[in-house]
Amino acid sequence: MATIKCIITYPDQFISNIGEFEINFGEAIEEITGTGKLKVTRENVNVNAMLHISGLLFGPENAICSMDVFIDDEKVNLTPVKSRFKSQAGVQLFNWRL
Amino acid sequence: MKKITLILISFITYLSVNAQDIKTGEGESSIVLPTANIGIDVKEASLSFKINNFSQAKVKSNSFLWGFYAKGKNNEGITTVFSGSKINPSSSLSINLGYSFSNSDKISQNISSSHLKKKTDYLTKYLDENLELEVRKLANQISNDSIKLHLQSIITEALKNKNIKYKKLECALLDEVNNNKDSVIGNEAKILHLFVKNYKPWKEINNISDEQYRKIENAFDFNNEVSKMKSKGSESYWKLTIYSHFGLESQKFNIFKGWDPTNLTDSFDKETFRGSNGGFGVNYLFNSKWILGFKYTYQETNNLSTLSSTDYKISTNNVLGSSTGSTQISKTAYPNEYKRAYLNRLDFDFLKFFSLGESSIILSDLYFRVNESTNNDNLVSTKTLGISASFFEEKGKFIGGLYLELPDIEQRAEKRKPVADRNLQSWHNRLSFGIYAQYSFSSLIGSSF
Repeated sequence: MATIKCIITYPDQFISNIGEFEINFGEAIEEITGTGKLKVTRENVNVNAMLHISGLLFGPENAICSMDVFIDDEKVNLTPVKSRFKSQAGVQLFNWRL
Repeated sequence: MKKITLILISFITYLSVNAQDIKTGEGESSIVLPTANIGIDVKEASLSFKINNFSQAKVKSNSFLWGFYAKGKNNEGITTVFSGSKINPSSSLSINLGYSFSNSDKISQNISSSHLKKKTDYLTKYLDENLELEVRKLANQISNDSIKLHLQSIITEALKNKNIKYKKLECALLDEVNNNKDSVIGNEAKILHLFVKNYKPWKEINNISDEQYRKIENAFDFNNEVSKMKSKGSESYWKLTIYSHFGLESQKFNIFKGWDPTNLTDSFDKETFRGSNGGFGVNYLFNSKWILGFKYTYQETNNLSTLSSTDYKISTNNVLGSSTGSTQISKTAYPNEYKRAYLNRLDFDFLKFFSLGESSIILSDLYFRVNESTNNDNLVSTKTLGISASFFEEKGKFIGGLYLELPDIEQRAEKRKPVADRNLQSWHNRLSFGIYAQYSFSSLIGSSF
């Protein structure tokens, strides 16, 4: 069992709401730690088989948000995970798996 | 006497923490946005402090909002400070209280999948208990001892990983197959790889993961069948903010009454103005691209902004014997036409986010300001129309902006003058535009609020 932590940076001016995040299909805890900094965590996650992170930020196109993922404080993504804009809903989506 | 004029580069030097002010010409926007900054405006000779909780309130779909704004300035601008005249201070305080509603939770629910968690947890547990046992049992059946030992070591190495170890096992066995094609070891590795790959709980977990990934991707494509079927979250984002605002204003200045022949220094009156204002505002953001803003303010103010101040100097010579001494007093004063006034202010904004290339965003604001005076003899009613564009890079750093404005659309101020003094001009001759820039020194203040 591991603690999963995601550190997300976003342009505070353009992101008007933080949506819900899920880690391995379970609800995660979102916490704003500074201007344009979001920490998403979930404890006791079984990552033997998979790691899947999804979540939303509400902001316009080009307001690029990026995410780093840590398993027990060890960074597991090689490059920053970028959000993708879903124009019809007006959201920035993270949908990433290891 | 305005023509199309380049006003000047309004050097607004800001010490800021990701300052978030969209400047709409010389006016005040009705749209409230996240902010936390200390600002020094060189042009206005003002110091301001702004803070609100908008950044923190974003984690909830519906939340209480507050904001505080304080500003102090010298009425005569920075130049009078350098000329040695007395500083004419003014200050203002205001607070915002509001509440915002949005459908962000509803849209988020579209990706909610907690019902799958139980199934995945069950499968993962089953996998943890059995897959390693089964694959090792299969490897032990290999007759060649060196191959058996080699493949067992690959299994051990892959499974000692802290995360996604079964995927690593599958990949390690596949690598072994690819590196040893048409050999005994390759064939044995292939058997183990296929066993792991097709192990039922592992296969199911992979399928759940694939399905969930696709479902989330498709949830925001409204033309997609999956999205059409589950219409719950398939909608555009909106956010409504309603707020009230209250403020106090204070100004100290001199009024020139006319030269007093008995004592020249008595020609001036010290005046103190205290005013208040209050009202409400509404912001409606939709599809993360558009914001409509409206603000109503009832304001107790004065006509000082329409009066021109003058610098006066009073010199006194003292003669004692063959020596002469002189003293000089400087005063900045307004003409004796100062009046208190009451305004009904209506501010309208229509803001849109534009993408500029791949790395920039423009916030364009079409604004309309109505200042309706209750007594036009004291302060003339005005209407102002303008458009501004603020440039930001993708990480939210403000680069600069420009605005185009038509002040006093109906030229009411001119029309109230005597006919001989009037200078009415066509609208295009009265258009003005300005450029504004901002500099951030975010390291001066911590970024957590």
